[in-house]
Amino acid sequence: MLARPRPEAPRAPTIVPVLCILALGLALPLVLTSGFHIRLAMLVWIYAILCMGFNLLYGYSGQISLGQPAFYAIGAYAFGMLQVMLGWSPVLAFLGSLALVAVLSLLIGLPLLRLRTHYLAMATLAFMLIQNGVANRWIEFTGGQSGIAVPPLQWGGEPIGRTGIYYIVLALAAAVLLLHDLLIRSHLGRAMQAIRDDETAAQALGVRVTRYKLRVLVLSGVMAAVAGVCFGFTSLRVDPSLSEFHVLVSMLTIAVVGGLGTRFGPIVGAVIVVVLPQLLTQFGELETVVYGLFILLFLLFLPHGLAGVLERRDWFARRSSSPRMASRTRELEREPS
Amino acid sequence: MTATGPLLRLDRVVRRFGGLVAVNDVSFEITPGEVKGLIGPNGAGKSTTFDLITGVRPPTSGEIRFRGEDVTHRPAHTRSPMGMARTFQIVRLFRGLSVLENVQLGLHPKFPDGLWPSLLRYGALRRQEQRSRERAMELLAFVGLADRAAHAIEELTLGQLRLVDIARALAAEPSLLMLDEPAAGLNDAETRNLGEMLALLKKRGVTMLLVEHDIDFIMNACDSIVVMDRGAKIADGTPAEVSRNPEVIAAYFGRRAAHAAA
Repeated sequence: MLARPRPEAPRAPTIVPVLCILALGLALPLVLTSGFHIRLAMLVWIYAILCMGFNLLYGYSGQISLGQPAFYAIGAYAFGMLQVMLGWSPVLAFLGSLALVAVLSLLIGLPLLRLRTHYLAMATLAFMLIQNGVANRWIEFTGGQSGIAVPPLQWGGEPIGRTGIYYIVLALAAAVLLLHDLLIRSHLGRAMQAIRDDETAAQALGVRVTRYKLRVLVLSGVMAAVAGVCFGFTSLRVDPSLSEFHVLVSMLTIAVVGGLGTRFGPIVGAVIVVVLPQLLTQFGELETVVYGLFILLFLLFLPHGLAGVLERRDWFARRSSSPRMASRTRELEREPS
Repeated sequence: MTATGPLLRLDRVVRRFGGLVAVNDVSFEITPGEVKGLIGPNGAGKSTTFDLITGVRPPTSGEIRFRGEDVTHRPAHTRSPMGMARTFQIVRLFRGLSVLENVQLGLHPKFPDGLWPSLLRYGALRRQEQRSRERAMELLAFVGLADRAAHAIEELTLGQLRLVDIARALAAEPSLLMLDEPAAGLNDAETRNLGEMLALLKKRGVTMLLVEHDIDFIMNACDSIVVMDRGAKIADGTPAEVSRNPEVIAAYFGRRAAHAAA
């Protein structure tokens, strides 16, 4: 048995698909001429950034946090307020808002990560509701319902044009995408998945479970803040709607449609969730119904999402031919060793 | 670790759960190169002892030393980097990962810990990742499952899963391999296969602690055996000595039967 020839190790995934996606992103403004379409493309990237953080946290590490929209909103508010109130430059305000969210998510994570599953979900959801309440009601500080204005980004005294803004969003999305991908393809992503599947076994193999969970919580919070900052300088206004339920619902829909715990699920999902409603406007009043049906079909037939089907096609293919595999296994076992 | 000292040493270890004393004043040693068995009827405290050694829970009192270091109260994740690896009675493989990736996780402590070291040494990390894939492949070949490397966990039989678990534990090149009922649920052919593999590991000098239910299996595999009953150690010796011990016979066949025989 031990003399059986050793097949090559299956090859590790490469970075090539990531570069293809980024190349597509670079070329997009050449194809999309209307400002409306560019805005949609920016929204796709913003939601993709938000959901990559959620994907690492829930899809890969199994820690469900429904508080992501709060970090998204806090990132956006901080970016605007640090500039308007303290006169910080946009770059400083960007770094400041990421640091603020990192500290906040650390403080929240320390007590909350003792909770699991739906308790963690409820506690983080409560955090989102509190954040939203503060944004709505502390009017002197947050501007209440109408929110705050974010100064437009400038280059050499001139406001940066729409295409320029798009490329800034793309650069930030690229950074998050590369980080997301590096994590997933490395031992760190493997350890995260081990924690998701079985904490006790992960611990026995030397994975420092609590430390990893905390790190991923902070990282996903920071990614949400990056998305928030992008939203701030693309829409130039930040209001409490950033942490309302529809953002949470969009995030969860992207996770389901794209595929939780997949490499490209957040991007595939973000494209569909942002673009599909635009295509469905022709259904008029029935738009929401068709959209809902669509999500339902995904849940029923593609539980791993679109990206899941593409990335795990070898598993799916083998499963359909499993009877033959099983008989082959028995043959191998009968061979004298 | 001193060359002559025991690899693992339990000294008067006690574990209580409320009023129940699950492990009562148990002491024993494992010397390097030895294959030690730990047996006893259901509820004897074998699994709890196993948990105490692996750090899943701390003992109420007593001391556990591994390679001369006091590990009594160190958490479970510190064991693997020190050279202690374990398998699980109920197979606990990661269902979202492929067979190969599961084995690769056994190499986790050898990777840099944290995002920044990984980002800064990205090139070195890719090479290390490649080496870890090759190493995991070798281990899968050793347990005879190289052709299953890319498969999902759910596609394997129980016997194969146990072998993956052993390959994963071997990945860290442990100085002590702890196996929790490795033969449970296996058919005769699979059990024989497992026995051959453990014999081969022993020949290579791997020290092992085997918790087992299957008496025949453990008698063949072990150099010495600790027998527990109702939380206490009742015998410690070679398989031949232990199988003649009247207390052991009483524990396994019932005290009344032992008295009747006497």
